[in-house]
Amino acid sequence: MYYQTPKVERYVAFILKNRLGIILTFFLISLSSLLLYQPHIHASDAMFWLKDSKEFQKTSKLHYDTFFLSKLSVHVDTIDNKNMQSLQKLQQRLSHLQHVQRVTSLFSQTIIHNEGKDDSGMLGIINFLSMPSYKLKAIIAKLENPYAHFISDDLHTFYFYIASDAKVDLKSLHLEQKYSCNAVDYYINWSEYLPYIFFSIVAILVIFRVIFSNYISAIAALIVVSFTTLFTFTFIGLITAKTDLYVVMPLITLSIAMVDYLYFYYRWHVSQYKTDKKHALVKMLNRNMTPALWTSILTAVGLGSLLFVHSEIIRMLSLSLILSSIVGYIINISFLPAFLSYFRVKRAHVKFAKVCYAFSSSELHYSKKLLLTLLSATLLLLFVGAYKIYDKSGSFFQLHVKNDQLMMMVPYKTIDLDFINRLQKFSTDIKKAFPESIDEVSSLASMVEELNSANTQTVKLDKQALEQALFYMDLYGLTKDYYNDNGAKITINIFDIDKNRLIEWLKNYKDINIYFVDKGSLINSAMYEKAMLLSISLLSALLIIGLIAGWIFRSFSMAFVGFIGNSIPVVWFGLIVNLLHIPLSLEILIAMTIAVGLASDATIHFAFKYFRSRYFGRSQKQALEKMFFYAGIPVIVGSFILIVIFSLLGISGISSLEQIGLYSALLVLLSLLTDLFILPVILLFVDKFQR
Amino acid sequence: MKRYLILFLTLSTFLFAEAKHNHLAYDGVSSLIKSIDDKAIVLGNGQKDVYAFIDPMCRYSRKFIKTLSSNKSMLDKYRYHLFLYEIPRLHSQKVIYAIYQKKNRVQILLDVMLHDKHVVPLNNTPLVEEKRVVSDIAKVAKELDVFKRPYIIVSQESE
Repeated sequence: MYYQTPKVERYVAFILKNRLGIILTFFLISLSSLLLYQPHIHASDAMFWLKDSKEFQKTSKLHYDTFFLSKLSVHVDTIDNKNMQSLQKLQQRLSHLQHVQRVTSLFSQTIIHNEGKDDSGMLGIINFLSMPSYKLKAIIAKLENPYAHFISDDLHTFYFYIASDAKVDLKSLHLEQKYSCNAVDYYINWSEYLPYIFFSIVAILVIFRVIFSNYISAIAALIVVSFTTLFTFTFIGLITAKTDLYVVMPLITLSIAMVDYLYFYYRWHVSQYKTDKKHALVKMLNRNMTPALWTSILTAVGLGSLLFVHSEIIRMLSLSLILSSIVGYIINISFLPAFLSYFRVKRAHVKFAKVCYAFSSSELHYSKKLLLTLLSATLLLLFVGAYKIYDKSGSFFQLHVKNDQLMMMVPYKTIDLDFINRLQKFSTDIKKAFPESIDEVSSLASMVEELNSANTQTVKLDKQALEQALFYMDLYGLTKDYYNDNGAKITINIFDIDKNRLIEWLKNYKDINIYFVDKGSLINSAMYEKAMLLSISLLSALLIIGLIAGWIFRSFSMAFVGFIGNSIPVVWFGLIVNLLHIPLSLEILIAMTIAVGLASDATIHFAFKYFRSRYFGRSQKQALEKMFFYAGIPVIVGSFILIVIFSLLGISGISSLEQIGLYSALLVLLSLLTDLFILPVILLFVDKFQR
Repeated sequence: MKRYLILFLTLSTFLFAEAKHNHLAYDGVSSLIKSIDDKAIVLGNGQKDVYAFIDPMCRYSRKFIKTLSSNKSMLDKYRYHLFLYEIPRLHSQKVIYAIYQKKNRVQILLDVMLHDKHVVPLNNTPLVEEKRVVSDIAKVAKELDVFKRPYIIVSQESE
């Protein structure tokens, strides 16, 4: 319990006696881990979502090739002959790039027509790729332009949809025009990451130097964080026998390990103000061992149930948090005292520490009304959020896209009129279900219809007309774009739509069996499938954390503190995400996992310090001051470092890491504000010693 | 005046009227085609049969032959049964007779259509046999209402 002080003197003596051995053992284990555990680091979360996707499993069963679909937007100032020719060339160059399977754009389009008028039965094909510029300009300028989905409304941006089996290297094209591409890096490009890692290390060194007036605090932090990260993922690899690792997952271990480390280091540092370095080690351990142990237990039990959820993403996130908390704890009570025992702090004074007295004074006279309003608003938001998730009406389930593409396969036994009619009906049905949202449904049926309309030898689409259409498709090399031996391809060009709603409609469409083949749609589908599960998982984790907090402090009110203290940053972050219409992503989940981990740590440490002081007869003000001094400062320093690191990530220019950086920075800030302004006030509110 | 106007309008309807063409059921088409199959010049060795009425002097028929003969996969997938059927305004009858007279009809046909080779019938007059072949094809073509070249019929029988 919080009022007990563990006797650690013998343990400290043991550590001091064997400190070199302990340090060398840790370095040896880390060296072995580096040799044994060689993870496949992914720059994208795609693989993790795909593994969880039922639609992907369905598509894989039929051995359909799946591919990444990226949109290249090329801006031109004027639609003149030079630009038109340049874009035509770009279509050709893109098609020849490595990994590219297919490029669809205005310049990949064709017009089917009848060659000659009087006595020719020959169908011909006009390819936009070789069309004179003036004709292209005329087509683009048409009000009723059937190719509008390939051009922006202002007619200055042209869209190229690139289907590829890996990320395409657009830099090699040396494009003259301004362009942007939504392609994501799937493989790690370490040259992009190294400057970021370097600047993060420099930031840690500078911040620690400024606050603690030494470098050893930063060096110890870097070693502890590195060990925690390395051991955590080696354990995950050993437990799950999986070596795939999403590059942003170590951010969880970094955050947890950094703040946990600071609770220990900070106590060692400030304890040298009055006492010697050995006694500082005793203080460091006997004041932090118990709350840190409880935070690890809280995390392990709170998130442990999620390990049984049938989702690799949830398992990986929970395991990262649980193991980093446990591993970090072990390192902080064994390696860290052994390592720090070699050093002594010259200036035990910590800058900015006085700020905690200001917090204590101002929060002591809190407004109950305001607190209850905030808690009620948070609970109300939580219920509304839970209902929206249950109802699937929240922005988590909406994915608004403009000028996008979706690719699917439909299996067939024989290509006959019935199959063509079903494809045709699908096209009509989807346009009816999403009027003004679907620009074009390109399928075997649409091509057969176009060929038959141009064919003067046939009138209505009968079996002979279909055979002739298929023959002409072979003759002009169009077949591969519309069907193969395994199935017929459907490409839906979207104008402006909630893609998740469209995907759900497609999944429930009965008249044809639809198999998504572009990984973007498969990932969206998996996210939609898992959104409910992920939300329930997070809510249940918060509830369990609350219950355990209540059990630790043998108090019902602490169960409420544990629950609400952890919920506040997540719920308010959820509101921001909802208002900004940001759909669910792994980045958001990781940021939320970090926030839950940090908030649960802070709840236990704050409550421990506060109630311990109260138990030993200190006043509320003194208890608050102690709590802020011993737990608040490490949280402020830790959160500040994390916000700096995550913000650096947010502006790093690394596409796959920018989002996680911004989300995490925002959530850590929300957690910090909760810890500084709300948690202490809730503790005052539930203070049983006052009664 | 009124009478002339009515006469003019009546004649105009003939001028602008769109010709209606017979579309026989495939079974009928198939039996007619098969009746002249032995007169076809066969190109390609694919599994699926394509029957085409072509005029060796017609530019669109030439484009058709050029497109498929230059595409190996089209020759591997389909088997083309080519029937030479004249477009009257092109006066290609002599060329057709000349091709049918030769033993290596496929090569001569390709030479004429792809390389514009000039051919004339032996002795400048067709033999009875060639005449019969051409007239048999023409007879079936009329029954099928072959009004364009190339006129293509793709076999609907399963491969």
